[in-house]
Amino acid sequence: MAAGSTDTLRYRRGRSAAPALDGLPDGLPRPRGDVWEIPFAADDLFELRQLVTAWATKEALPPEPTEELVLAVHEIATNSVRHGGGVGMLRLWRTGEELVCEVQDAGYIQDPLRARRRPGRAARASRGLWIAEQICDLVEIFSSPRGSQIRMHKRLD
Amino acid sequence: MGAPNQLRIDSRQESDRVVLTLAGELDMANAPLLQSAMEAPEIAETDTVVLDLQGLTFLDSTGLRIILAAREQSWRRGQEFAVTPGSQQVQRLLSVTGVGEHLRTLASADEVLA
Repeated sequence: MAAGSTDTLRYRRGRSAAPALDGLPDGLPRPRGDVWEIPFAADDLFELRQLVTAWATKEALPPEPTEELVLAVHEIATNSVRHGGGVGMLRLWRTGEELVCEVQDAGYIQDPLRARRRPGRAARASRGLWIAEQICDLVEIFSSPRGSQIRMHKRLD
Repeated sequence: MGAPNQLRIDSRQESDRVVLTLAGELDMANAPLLQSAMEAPEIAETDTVVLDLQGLTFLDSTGLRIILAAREQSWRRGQEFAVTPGSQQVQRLLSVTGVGEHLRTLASADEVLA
């Protein structure tokens, strides 16, 4: 994302049904600098993948880690659609050393440790968060009855 | 924005098997396509079901869940169930989740099952 003078750059789309979500006041610390905010709903996942691919590639993340970051974001955004109220907000930003993707939704993960455990082999097992943990360098989770933030970090080197 | 349908499934019947060839992306949005393809009458009667994933460019955990459900469905019918390797992304997902080592994988959709 090109540097801008505003604190937050909102990406507006014509047809997405998703409303913008404000940050959680007691959640993870707000990033400094430019943040690209993209509200999404169920129909937007395909475009979300294309958008994260284009952004990470432009930020010079190599193809393999880009593919991993895209899968992680997709899995967490899918969880928002399935379990987190049907819509969410994706935030993208870059620090000196890493790309960060955060998904916020209205879901409440009551037991974050359990969500991080290796899933069993049953077909119905939920694997999204666990997959994100495996392929990102760091995954931060904040969850409260007011909503959740999953922040995924990928190193640029 | 309504993404276009990005998954195509072709069914091919051979003497001992039905091959479902998946092309495109298998995620939550189009997983029902595979679910309904598994309900086709020719699949209920075959000895072996092969999912040919060579044209599959993207697979997520929802798609993986549908593939595992298809396998369980085949096993309940007493059928063999196998897949072919997909793209790098597909293979990475199978390997990260540890599912790959438990999926019978053929080099090609026509490979004879031992």
